[in-house]
Amino acid sequence: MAILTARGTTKRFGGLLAVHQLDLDVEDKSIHSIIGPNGAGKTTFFNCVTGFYRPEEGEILFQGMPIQGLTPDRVTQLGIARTYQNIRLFSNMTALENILVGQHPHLKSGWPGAVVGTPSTKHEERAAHQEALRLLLFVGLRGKGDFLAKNLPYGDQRRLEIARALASRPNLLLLDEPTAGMNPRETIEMMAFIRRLRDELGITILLIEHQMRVVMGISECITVLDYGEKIAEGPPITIQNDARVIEAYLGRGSAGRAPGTPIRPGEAGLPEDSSRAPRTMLEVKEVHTYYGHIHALKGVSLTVGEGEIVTLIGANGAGKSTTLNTISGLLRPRHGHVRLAGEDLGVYKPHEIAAKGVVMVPEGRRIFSQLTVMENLQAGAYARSDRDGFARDLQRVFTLLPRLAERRDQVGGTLSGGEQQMLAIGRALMASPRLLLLDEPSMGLAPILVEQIFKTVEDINRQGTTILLVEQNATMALSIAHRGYVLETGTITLKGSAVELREHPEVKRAYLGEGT
Amino acid sequence: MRGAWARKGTLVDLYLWAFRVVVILVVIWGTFGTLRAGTYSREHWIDFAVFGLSQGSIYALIALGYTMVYGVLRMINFAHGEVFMSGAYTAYFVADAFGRSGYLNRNPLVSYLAILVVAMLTSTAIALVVERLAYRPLRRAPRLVPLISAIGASFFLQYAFRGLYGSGFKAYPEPEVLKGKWVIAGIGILRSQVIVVVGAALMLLVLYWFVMRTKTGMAMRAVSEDKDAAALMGIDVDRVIVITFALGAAMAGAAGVLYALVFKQVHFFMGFVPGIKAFTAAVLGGIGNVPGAMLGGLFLGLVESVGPALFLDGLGIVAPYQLKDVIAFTMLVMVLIFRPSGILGERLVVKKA
Amino acid sequence: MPMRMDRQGWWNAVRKGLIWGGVAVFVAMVGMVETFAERQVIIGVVSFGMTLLALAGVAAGFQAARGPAGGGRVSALLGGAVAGAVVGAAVAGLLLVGSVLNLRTMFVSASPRLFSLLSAGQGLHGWYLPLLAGTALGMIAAGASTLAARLRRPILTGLMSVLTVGVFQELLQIMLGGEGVGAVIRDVLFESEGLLPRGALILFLVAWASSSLWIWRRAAVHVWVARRPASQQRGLRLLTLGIGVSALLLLPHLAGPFLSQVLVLVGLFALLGLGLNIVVGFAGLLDLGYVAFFAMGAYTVGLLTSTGEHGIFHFSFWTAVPIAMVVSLIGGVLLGIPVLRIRGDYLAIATMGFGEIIRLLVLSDFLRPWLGGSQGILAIPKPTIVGLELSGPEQLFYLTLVLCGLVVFVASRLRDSRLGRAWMAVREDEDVAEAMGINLVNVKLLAFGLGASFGGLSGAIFAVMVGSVFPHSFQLLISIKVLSPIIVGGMGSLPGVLVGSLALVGLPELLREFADFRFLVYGAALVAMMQLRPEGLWPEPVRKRELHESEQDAAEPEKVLA
Repeated sequence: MAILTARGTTKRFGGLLAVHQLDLDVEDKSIHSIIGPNGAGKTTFFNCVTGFYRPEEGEILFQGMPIQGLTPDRVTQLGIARTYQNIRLFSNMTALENILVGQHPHLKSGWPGAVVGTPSTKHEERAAHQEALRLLLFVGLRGKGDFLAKNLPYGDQRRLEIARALASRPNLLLLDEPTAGMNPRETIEMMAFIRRLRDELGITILLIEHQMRVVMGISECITVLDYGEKIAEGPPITIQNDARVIEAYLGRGSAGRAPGTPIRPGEAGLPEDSSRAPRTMLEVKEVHTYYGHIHALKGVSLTVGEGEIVTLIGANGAGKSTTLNTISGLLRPRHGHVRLAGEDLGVYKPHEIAAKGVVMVPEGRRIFSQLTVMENLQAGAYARSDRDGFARDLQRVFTLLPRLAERRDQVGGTLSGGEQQMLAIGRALMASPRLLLLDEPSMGLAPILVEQIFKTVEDINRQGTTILLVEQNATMALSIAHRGYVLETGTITLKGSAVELREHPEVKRAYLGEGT
Repeated sequence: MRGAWARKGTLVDLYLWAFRVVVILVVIWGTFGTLRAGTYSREHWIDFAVFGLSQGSIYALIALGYTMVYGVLRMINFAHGEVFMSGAYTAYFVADAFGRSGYLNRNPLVSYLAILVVAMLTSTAIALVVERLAYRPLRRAPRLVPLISAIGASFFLQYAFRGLYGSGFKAYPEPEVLKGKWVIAGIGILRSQVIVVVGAALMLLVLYWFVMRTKTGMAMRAVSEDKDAAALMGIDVDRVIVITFALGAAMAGAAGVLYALVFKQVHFFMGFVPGIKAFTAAVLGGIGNVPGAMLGGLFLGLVESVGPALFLDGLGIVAPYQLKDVIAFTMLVMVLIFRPSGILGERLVVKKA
Repeated sequence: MPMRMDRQGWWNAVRKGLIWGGVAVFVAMVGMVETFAERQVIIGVVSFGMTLLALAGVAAGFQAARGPAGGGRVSALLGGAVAGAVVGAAVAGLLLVGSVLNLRTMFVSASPRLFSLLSAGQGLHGWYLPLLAGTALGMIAAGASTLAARLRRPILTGLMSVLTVGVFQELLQIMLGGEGVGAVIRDVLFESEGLLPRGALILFLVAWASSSLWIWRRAAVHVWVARRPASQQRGLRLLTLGIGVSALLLLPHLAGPFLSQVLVLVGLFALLGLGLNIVVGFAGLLDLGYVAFFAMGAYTVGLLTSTGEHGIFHFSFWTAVPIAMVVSLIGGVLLGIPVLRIRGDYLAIATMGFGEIIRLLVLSDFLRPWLGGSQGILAIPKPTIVGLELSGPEQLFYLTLVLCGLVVFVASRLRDSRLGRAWMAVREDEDVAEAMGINLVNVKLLAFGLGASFGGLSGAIFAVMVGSVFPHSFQLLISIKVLSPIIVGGMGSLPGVLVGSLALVGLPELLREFADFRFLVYGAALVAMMQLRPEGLWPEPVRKRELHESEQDAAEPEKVLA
């Protein structure tokens, strides 16, 4: 019997189709995972279930009753609870109070009773406190009830969020990336804990996760989403070997080519056995970066040599963007350093780093949609003062990306996705970078466009710019790079030349988990 | 983004609907009454309209400061009304000196330029100090905190001026050349009001040109849209924020001088009400939207000036002019409740949850 | 011990000196020095006005000594001296400028009296005096900062005691009474206008000694208390509470009618603060139009009880008050519904708009026939209990005290209830709160309504205290006056609100000269608090649960979902 059923669920944001005609059944008392690359629509779907969004089409049934369009408080009262991708506890309330709030739906006493102090209110409050303490014990937070939520360590906060969700006595629990930012030991503990939730409490679990070992390890059924659509469903064994899933994660090569085959024999760029090693331009050494409590980068080290294309690949949540953000100055490393040609970048602000020639094309493009194409390009050249160099680079950009020349007076927001990506790259080029940082240039683009983008990247490299490329689409990235690094939950687990990595089974495992 | 507000929701929606209906009825009924009674002549309406335009121009200039600062910092600069006041007030001393010595009448153009410069410089200085002391340290704090700091700064400035310069009204001298009316297209219009409208229009044009056509203006627009992306392009975000404050303040300072031309007095509390009204104008036009703020200001000025006569009088309300601020505040409340993105629509990019 | 101070240190000292010098000049120009010069701290020695200037020098010296890392005592002293000298130079500069130019045309406070004060009567010739004073003060402050806390604290306590007693000498003299032990103490310490130098010395020594003693023995006392059995501990706590409450009850008798009046005012603002605290502090809804509910309560009582032309019925106070509270409650709900979906900054402005609309309507001639326009409603009779009229400030004080106590009780019960937790969840994260099953509409309207009703209660008392209501008493400034104690005391904290009201409302009333500078200080306090201590001066202590012990015997995990 399915406890949760979705039929034809569709959610649109303006022109963007986040979830498209999704059909899903979650069996009662099962552990069911939803996985998929970045932007596949997983959290959006969760939000539709919990009432935060109202789907445009389709229906969602919980225990046979339609719940789409109900307000979130109503949905919770019916027996669905959730946790959040970025922990959203009530920071200035104690752990115990957080759980007590979670009990809100099934407590009955009203405020007059509380003011007067009727026996039934007192009794209920006492019982609620007892239950909250028991929940604290259950999740392993004994004795920490009086700690303010914001002062708890990261792992404890995740547990508290689960305790709070359990407090409403749900039949269905939605967990959004419960193991994000955890080390292997904590991850294994969490996996056991999730199993306990189902085994001991009889709660159905619906899980969004990126760590494949977790997904493959505890799920009974997995649904794979890509671009808002379901592309595969079934038990772990089936999913791990499903070609479409592999392609969705590791990426397609050029149209018609299976992943794993090189673009052209005899490599673009440097030959692998070259004795002439390029000069190191960028050195990242033992960098640890934190988001608040979350230890996102745990001692990342890499180098980029002059004239190279180096790629950093890895699954979602591995820390790829965090690495680029640290290099570009938007984040500061807590330990370790980033050096450009020997100079420590840690003291500089982002705009100063950009002026030094390290220019980033951020994830999601982030062009200035209210400015025209020309103005965007001018923005890129903001820090420069050489008029001639500007004109020359402008020509170069227009030659490289002719579409931009055609649309130079058009407002950025009206360009298509692919054109915006071109504009983002062009804008970065206008800064005359020595080192170009590209964060997931292929995201959200159709395969043909992806090929174009990558060809452009190669051209740029051939013209002399060094490139550090972060990509989820491992196949494409490795087909143009000279060297690569594989990042898994904040640590580099593999490195080598692109050719080596391309065939390495570890890469596939890093994306899709054990047993592939 | 949320689903409908279920049970209680319908009661809320009913109430809001009733609210809207009442306001519309008041306006229509009142207008009808006034027009039928014919109490006001064409000259009256023209006077109201011109006054409304001049008031509105002043609001428009002040509104620019609110809208630009909100664009880059996503916060309401509560102290902006006091920035406006400080310019007008400080320039008073210059004006007074000129007036007393007779220079004002001999050389009104140069005098007023000097007065304008002093006002704009003072306003800018005050705005930058406030930004540095009360806002910058709180860049990363939760929303409520900078707002309270802004409120504190606003009161501090008001009462500082009161302490320094006294609580009385200071009368701006009026040069001979600005007394009386000019006849334009067969209508007699007060000279001071003409100067105000023309002066404001000029400043608005200059600002518009600056924001749309210069490199710094482009940087301002970039920072408004996406601070981090702008930083990645080499734009010094802190410097741009300072420039934004400075520009908005300069406009407010100029508005202060124009205000003095129309109302002929300054006093330490004068910034509060125009400040709120200018904020209303900014929200009306869509916060973050520079042309919107200009139009919003003019619109508000007109409605406020023509409104009491047009619909309040018709309802039989005695002394309708007392309630002109009520009209402005009602518009404020309605736009915040029903259309916070403004009539022309917000130009800010909203990040999805 | 290294004696040099590096360039960084010098520059830091100069900079601090400039900042505090600016503050000193500002304080002088704004008129605080002259106004407060009336109030002598120690007769013939120093006035409060001069104390303010001195504090600038002290602050500069203190901060300058903190600046340079290594350096030792001598360099700290030097730094302090430099900073203090700069402050003194600024004041001296002001003196010079003021003597040459006629600043009076622009700056209202630049009077001859001010300059005579600044130069200790010497005029232009005394220009070196501020400089010397500044240097000395700076050096002393720097020196003090290098002392161990153990030594420094008693000195500070001593100075603070002298300052406090000196400033409040009027009050204390009244309290010490006309005969008996009190009178003897009074004659020793004071003269009719202020603290005598010998009194100051005695006071300083006593305070210093007690403070040193306390520091010395504090740890031992704590240990002693902890060793007592729980019942005795509770007894001790009750005893302290009892002493506090009795002091409060006896206060009006001791302090006379003037103080009682002030206390009533403090009580009224505390009531308002407690009400607004529910909206702002518990639920996180910044309501700047709160004064509207104060007005509703006052006007309701006025209309229902007044014997004048606007009075409708002639209800007694006790009938009118509940009605006033209900009217305010309904008002809170009606004003709350439209703003339910507005957040943050916009909510603040929208509620402020509503507040202003109501004030303008009440003030208008349009509603004059019913509400009295700018004249307001007059002839509101005082309440009577069992035939006894509560006319004097003392009696009203007791009434206010009782009501405050009641409201504190209700507020604390609400805070620890399901509703209170729901409010706090809404304050922390509205979206997640909704996902916890909390109905936002109900919860927010309850906050608005209940908060408003307390405001109405306060308004009711205000109406009878003054005997009339005018729209002038209900401006936005009042909302700020209510909000400031909440922010300064700690949002959501009940003791914080009470202490905040005492400090921010009570003090200005006691120090009458303060009135002109009240909002100046409020503004500065708000800005400063947000940067230094946003959680307030007395945030709600994390409540230790009595159930802490029972954590040990919590049930086994299997029994979680019984």
